[in-house]
Amino acid sequence: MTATTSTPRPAERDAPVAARTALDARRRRLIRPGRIVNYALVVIVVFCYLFPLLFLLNTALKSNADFFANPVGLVTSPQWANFGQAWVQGNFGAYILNSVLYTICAAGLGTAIAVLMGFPVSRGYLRWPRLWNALFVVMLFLPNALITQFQLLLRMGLYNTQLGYILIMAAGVGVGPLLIAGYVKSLPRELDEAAAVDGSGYWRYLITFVIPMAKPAIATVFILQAIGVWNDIILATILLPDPAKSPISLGLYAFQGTYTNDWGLLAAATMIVAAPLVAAYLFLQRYLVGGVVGSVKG
Amino acid sequence: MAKRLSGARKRGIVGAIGAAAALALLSGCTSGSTPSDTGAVTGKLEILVSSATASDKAFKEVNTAFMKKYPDVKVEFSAVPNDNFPASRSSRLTAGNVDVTLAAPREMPSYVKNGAVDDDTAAAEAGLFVDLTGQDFLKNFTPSVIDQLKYKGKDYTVPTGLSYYTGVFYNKKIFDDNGLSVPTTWSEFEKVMSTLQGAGVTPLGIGGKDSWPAGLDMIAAVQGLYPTADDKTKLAEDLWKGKADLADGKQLEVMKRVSSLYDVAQKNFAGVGYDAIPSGFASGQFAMTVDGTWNQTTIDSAVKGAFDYGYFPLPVSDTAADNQYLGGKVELRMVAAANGHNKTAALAYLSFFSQPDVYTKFIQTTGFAPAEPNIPASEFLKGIEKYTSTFSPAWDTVWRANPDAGQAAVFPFNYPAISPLGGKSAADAAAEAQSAWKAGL
Amino acid sequence: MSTYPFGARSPLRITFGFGLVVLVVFAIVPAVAVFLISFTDIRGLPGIPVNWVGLDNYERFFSAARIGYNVNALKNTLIYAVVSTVAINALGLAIAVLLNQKLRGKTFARAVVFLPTILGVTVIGLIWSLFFNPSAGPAATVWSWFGADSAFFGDPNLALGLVIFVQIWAGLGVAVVIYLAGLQAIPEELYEAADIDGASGGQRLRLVTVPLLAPSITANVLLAIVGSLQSYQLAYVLTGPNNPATQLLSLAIFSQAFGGSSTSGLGQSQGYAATISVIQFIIVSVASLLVLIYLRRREARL
Repeated sequence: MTATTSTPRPAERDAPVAARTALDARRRRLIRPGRIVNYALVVIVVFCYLFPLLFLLNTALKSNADFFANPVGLVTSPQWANFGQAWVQGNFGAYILNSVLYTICAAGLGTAIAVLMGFPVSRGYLRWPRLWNALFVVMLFLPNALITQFQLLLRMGLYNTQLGYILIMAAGVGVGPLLIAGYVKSLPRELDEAAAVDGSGYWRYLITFVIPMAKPAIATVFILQAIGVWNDIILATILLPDPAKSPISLGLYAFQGTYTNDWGLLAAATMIVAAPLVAAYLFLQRYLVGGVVGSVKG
Repeated sequence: MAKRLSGARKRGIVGAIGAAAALALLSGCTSGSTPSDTGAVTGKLEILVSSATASDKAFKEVNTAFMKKYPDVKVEFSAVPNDNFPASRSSRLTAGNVDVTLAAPREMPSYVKNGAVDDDTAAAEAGLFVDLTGQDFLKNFTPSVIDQLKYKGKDYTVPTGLSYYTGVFYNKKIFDDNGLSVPTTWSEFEKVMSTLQGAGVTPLGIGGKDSWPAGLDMIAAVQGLYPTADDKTKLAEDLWKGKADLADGKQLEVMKRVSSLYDVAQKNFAGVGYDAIPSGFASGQFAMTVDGTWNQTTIDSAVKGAFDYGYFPLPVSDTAADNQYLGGKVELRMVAAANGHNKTAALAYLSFFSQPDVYTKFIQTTGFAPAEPNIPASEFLKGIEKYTSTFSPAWDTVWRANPDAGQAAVFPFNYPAISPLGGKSAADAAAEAQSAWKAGL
Repeated sequence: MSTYPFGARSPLRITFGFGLVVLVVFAIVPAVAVFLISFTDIRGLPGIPVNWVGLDNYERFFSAARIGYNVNALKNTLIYAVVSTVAINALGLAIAVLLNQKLRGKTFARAVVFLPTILGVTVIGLIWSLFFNPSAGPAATVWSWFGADSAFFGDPNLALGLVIFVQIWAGLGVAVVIYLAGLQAIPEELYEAADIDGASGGQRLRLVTVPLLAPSITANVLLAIVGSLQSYQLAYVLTGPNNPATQLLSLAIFSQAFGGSSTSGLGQSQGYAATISVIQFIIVSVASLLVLIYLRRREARL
């Protein structure tokens, strides 16, 4: 389908002239309808995702009376005050900071673990490689261990501490070590030996070679785990009873449980939570797709 | 104390006798100590409740007033959504970082199998709550209410108020426009429903998406057919002893009544949330809704005086006398945690809460019916006094579910299976409940 | 074990050991403990004696009173997993192929598709509850064009389908990103060669794209299977904890262990919840391992 591009790529210049002309002619015929269909499809996809979100924005700007009178109607007199009220009542500022802390620390630690374990196992530098590979697979689908994790933290004196919560979330590495191990296979092994001959130690090699080279895979692993941490509700409920330590997911959930009657306010609260995320995402997204490239090449 | 308990648990099987001994020990520790003679009220006081807009606001008012009176106390108040409350409470009780929370221990009838004990009762049994027997502040409350709350003859809980929920909010204007008066028997109620339908008005509004609001119709149906506390207790006992059949007789009648209520409810009510009911009622989408008095303040602010509304017991029985009382329960009951860090402040808080002036404000904010005598009730509650002169416990406060029985027999009237919530007729749903119930006996 | 070129082994042991300790202490030990407590009658409260009950909890899962309910939950779980895994991967691949072309606004479109992943379950639940509000949501308006109406999440025949729909909507973002990454790693020359050989669009997809995407497919299928078998939050926020039409095994664990008296009138039974966890673990691991082995074999063959 990439054939629909009309500018010839460098590789094509060396193609036999006859073949190229034929190819170009065929393309020119295909370009128009294909492009239109493609754009139509993109519009449909974007619509499926944007419409529900715009509907939420529309709701956020309604007073409760307006909403119940006509939930689908376009907003006529925007209630910007909903946002201020939701912000004050929801205490979202503090929650967002908590969430950022948990997400960066837990996903960061989890990703580090995935690298520190995935690399040597993939290279076969350790005894019992089968055992470690099996461990990586098992990490994918461990049973829900909420009750016992609570008991564990309680006994370790880490209950109701941010550190305890971060450690539990970091240990939920999921697919991470497996992905890193897979990616490392695509890195030339000779590099390890060459670096070692040059006198590089193991740690220095990890930092100066493995991490930069495995960046795409590391980015993927980090993002996948960060999503899980950011969205967690139930572990935070149990492990962090102190409301001052609540992450934003829990704050919003509690807000929703308390203000069930007020859809405009709820929608506004939701938008408040979503806005910084969307902004952060728009800023980071080119790193994201770019970062993921190749992480599954291996 | 807490250490002694966990030691007991480590030894393994302690059983009821051990727990009772621990309980006796506990009451020895605490009885007779009032906040005034245990020293200064200082430090952090941790309070955990399940969240609702009105009660959160009321608790926060109490907390502010409390901290004004005891400036050395810092109240840390958590209001957790209902769904998360049991999990939060049990973990915080385990960790010992809650001082005041909510619980409703109930004495186990002898016919109930041991495994069916609920968490609140198990916790009281294990000595997790401070024995409040003999505390002066309990004297502020209506004695008959306090008697209702006793567990094995001891006081553990402080009531916050009463709610009734086997009645119907009705739109007086729609009733007047159609020449209807408050029905007192099932046949009169059927006439009301058919008249309304004939006039193109949807008779009933139900928020079926959240499931439990549709269960209020079931609880109301049981109330009319088993009006007194004794009737309900006997039904529960007969069911546990296998003498009563859920798919037969009056029990089947309950299901049929529920089904006919669902038949006249608004279209697609199974997908409507409970939160949409007050506004639907206010805009005249339906003439009536079965709801609890706890929701009256919300309904009132939705209606905004556009029309008059009233509340009457759902007349499920054919005998008017059976329909004259509302079933109710004691709302949020506060307990002091035995292993909390600040028992002194916890008791001071309960005592402060019970003071008639503080309590009056709490009642006004929450809209609960007062559990203390001589407290001015709202106009609305005065209007339904004739239905509440004799307290009749609602079915769900009498019933003890059996964890060994199937899911269809939890309530045990299987309303979630009735069409359109489920896909079954009243008789089929009842039969399913009966076989699920029998399997657990 | 291959030769370790870096001399001293202690740095390797220290860092590997550190990771291992964190995983074992905070993930493996609690998971193993779940197996142990599935043989007890433990409750979520302190001071209550805990007894070994042997296989009682397992017997209860398969007891006459529960088996119907559990089979229903199992059936729903499998439908949920299979439909959402297949749809997420098929649609995810299609959208990735679409957005991998030189189109204006493709960056924007990629961002939009990924948005639900960031917004989280609570927000997604709120959006779709509003959307499928039977009295006056946009979906009800669309239905009314055809003279139809529905209770949507309240309709026992429709509820599971709608929850799966929302799961697909929400889960596509991650799949698209991973497929896009895989697509961009495919060398252009291969497509050109296919063009010169006169391959049709379908043949290009079948002969070039899919085989070279094999690792991405493996990752995506696994993520979707594990995610859909273990996640209960969507069903929970959209249809509540006790709706038989959307009862999933993972949701049953949650309401057994934590729903407690507020939802069912029953006490919390963490021993029984652990039992369901173990049974679910067995199902998830068997399903994932079978799929993993199958996909790895395919990869190897290609």
